[in-house]
Amino acid sequence: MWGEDKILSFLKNILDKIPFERKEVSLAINNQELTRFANNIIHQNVAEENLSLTIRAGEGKRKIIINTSDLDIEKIDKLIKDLDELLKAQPETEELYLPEPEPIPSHEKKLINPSPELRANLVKIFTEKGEKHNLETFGALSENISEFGIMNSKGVKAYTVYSYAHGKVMYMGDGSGYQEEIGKNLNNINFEELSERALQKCIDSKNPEEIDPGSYTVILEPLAVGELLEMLSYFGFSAKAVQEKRSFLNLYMGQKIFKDFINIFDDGLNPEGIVIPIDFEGVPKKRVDLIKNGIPMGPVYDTATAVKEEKKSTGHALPPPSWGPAPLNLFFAPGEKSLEEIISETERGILVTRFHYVNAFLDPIRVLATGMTRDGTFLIENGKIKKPLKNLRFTQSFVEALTNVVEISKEAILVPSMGFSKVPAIKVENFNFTGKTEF
Amino acid sequence: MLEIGREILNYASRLGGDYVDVRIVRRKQEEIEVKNGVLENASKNETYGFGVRVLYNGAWGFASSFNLSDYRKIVEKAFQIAKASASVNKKKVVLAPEEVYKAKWESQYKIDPFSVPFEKKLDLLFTADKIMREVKGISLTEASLSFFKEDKVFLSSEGSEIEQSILESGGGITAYAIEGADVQRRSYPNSFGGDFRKGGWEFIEELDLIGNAERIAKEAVLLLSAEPLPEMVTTLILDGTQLALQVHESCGHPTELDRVLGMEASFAGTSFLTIDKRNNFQYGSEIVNIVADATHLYGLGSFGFDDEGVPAQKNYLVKNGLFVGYLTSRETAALFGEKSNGTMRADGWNRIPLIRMTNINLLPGDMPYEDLIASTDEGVYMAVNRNWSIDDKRLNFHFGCEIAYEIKDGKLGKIYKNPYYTGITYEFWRSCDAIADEKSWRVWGVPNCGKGEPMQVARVGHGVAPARFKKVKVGGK
Repeated sequence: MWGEDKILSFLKNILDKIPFERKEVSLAINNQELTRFANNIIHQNVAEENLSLTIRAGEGKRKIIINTSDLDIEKIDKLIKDLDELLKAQPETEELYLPEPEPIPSHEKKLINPSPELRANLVKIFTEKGEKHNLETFGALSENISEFGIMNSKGVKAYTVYSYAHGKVMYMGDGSGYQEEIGKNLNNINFEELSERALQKCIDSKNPEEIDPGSYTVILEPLAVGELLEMLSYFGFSAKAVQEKRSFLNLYMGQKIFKDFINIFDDGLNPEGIVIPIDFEGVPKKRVDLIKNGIPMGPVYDTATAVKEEKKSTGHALPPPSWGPAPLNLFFAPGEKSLEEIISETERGILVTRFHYVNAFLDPIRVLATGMTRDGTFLIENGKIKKPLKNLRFTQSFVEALTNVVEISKEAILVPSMGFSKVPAIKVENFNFTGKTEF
Repeated sequence: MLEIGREILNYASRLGGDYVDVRIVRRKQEEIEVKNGVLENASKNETYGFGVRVLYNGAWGFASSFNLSDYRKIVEKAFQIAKASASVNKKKVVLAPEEVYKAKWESQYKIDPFSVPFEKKLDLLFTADKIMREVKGISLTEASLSFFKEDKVFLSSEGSEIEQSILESGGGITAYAIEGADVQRRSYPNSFGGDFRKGGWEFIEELDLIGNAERIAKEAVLLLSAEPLPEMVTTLILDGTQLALQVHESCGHPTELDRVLGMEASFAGTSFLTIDKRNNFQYGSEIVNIVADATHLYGLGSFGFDDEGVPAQKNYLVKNGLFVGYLTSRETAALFGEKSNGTMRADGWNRIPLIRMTNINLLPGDMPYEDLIASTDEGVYMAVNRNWSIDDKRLNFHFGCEIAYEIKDGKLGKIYKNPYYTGITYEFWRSCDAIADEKSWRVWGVPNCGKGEPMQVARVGHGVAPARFKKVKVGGK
């Protein structure tokens, strides 16, 4: 890691060399380590140090992006020279919009110290647990540290550093069970409980039975809800999608289409998530209510999309070149009942541990998604988990699914998505399963 | 690159270990996108760094960095990680034997796209974009070009030293017609960025994006008033672009031996093509022949050597419908007493090589394309992928396409919107009763194949000609 002073002074030197009216320079450094295990052994174990210097420059209604990991000063000077040629070659279409400086909220900068030995020790614990039940153990543990600095010609000068850990454990025998979670560090994740849940699901999912596709009440556990939320975000919560008229917000903005208790927001400063106070333009992240008391409120913005509506960026720019702004710190507000209570009050339904290979390009505006269930699909009857089921294919509008939510669990966990999502389990009526598979 | 590679390898070799390899990679990319008449993105990207893979006491460690001057620290990190792996593992990795190579390989091209003036590229994109926007009813347009250059060296403690240089080009256009909640689109020559291959600017000229702009824009508008495809079980003909993705998802991924052995189980899943099925499972009908061919002239999955230093090869995965082979690495091939068939590739310097598809090609049949349609009394023709999903053993798939055409009495008829088809992999391939001949066969480039953790994106190819399948479940929304 370089630290704030070194990064900002490096960026200032480069910014000063760029001769254009609008310019932005940023440096992202990322160190990540990851241990993957399968069939009770560590089969992949890696560490990487990444660096990316990005220059955005604009003159009139012309703009260009250059990105390199090579910090050789002569090469950078050559890149800066190339900018001129690349800008002059363009017709005038749209200027490079840059944000004004804003105060950056302070946040805790406690970083993790990645340890292959700690990860190996955890793998040993997971595999020993599986071996007691004659099961094979699979999964991954990762530790990530990132720092990011940015300066622009309007006076933005921002820096942040953050870290997080991610763990997933899967057991396989005649059935399979899986759990995963994000934490501030590996010690922050309760792996004893997480691996126990994965183990129990594996044991319980032995000898699954087939069920006919159709419309069912489902209880989606947090990992499945995370995927649902990710699809809603990708297709709907970006101002770019709204401006291109391909978001469900174009149809339902300001209308009460969900129940009162549906509240979804993005908050990069919420300590229950992974705090990243600025976006990739150096704009402080604002809390944005995406759905409030059942009403879709609006998307998130970066500077380019905000300017088009004479608004201010909400601090949701992605690294350039990007497909538009996106919410990376999502929260689905929890309910009051435990998952156990929700199951016990369900007369007939299907409990889904997680989804697999979900895509929603079928009909992006309705977020019509198709995907599979996996690693623990169970039939609930009379408030009890009755038996494991073979996996099912769903084809379901996720917007419609959100309108059919009848319960939300009080437990919520932090799961990976485009960024991070803190999500509960939800009970959804009339969820459409359209196909089945052999296992 | 070779000099610094030797220095890193020498240092690593002094630290011991069963095996070490070093890769140094410089990648250069240029991306240009025009959207609705605006230069949405013009970017150049260059990345340079190295990765060290160490096998210590039968266990793997890997470390990588952009900072070549600090290579000692990275090499030591790779050893530290391998030792941590070894402290847990009860089984040791053994590598299949491989020859030592001192070699150079370069992909073929005529015109270096990085030397083509920026104005010329922009002119092409703005012209295609304008033609699409001039079609009444078009709401959104996209035109893009993408160029990729990779120079890399591979050195191993066994003595191999391999230099490779790869140049790839691609591009495409998409027109959207949007009316309320109905979003329709048409793309050319393929969706999600177009088509890509090893080659230079000459390929972009060959694509004729401008000549196809008006046609696809009009088709997108026509789709708004088309009926959704009715649900039915019928005969289905897939065009090359969609069939390429079908091969990718239902043959390419399930034949990756690391996936079969569970190495991807907790992420992307496993495979129905378990070890017992090799030479013992009817994957498709007798006319289905699928090869993994890394030697193809322009395929995106071609190379001289893989990232373990194994030469490019052509091998059958499915022969006369029978499943016969996997994509392998030195580690996985050794488990069966075989040599690697050379499919290990890494997404740049910072990631480890994994088993990746090369060019997974469905070999052509013997029926002219025109006869494929003419000999179909009733059915549906689908073109260009829009959506894709398959289960974690690669059995139950569901694909959406941009457009479908009714086939009646051997002729293409009215168009349908929102078409999809779904099925079980081996049932689908067993129902294949005709494949068009080599006149309509080409390799399509897929530059965005995701696999592994951290996620790696591979550039792969799929050679196909349109083909016909019986009794397939299709529908629209």
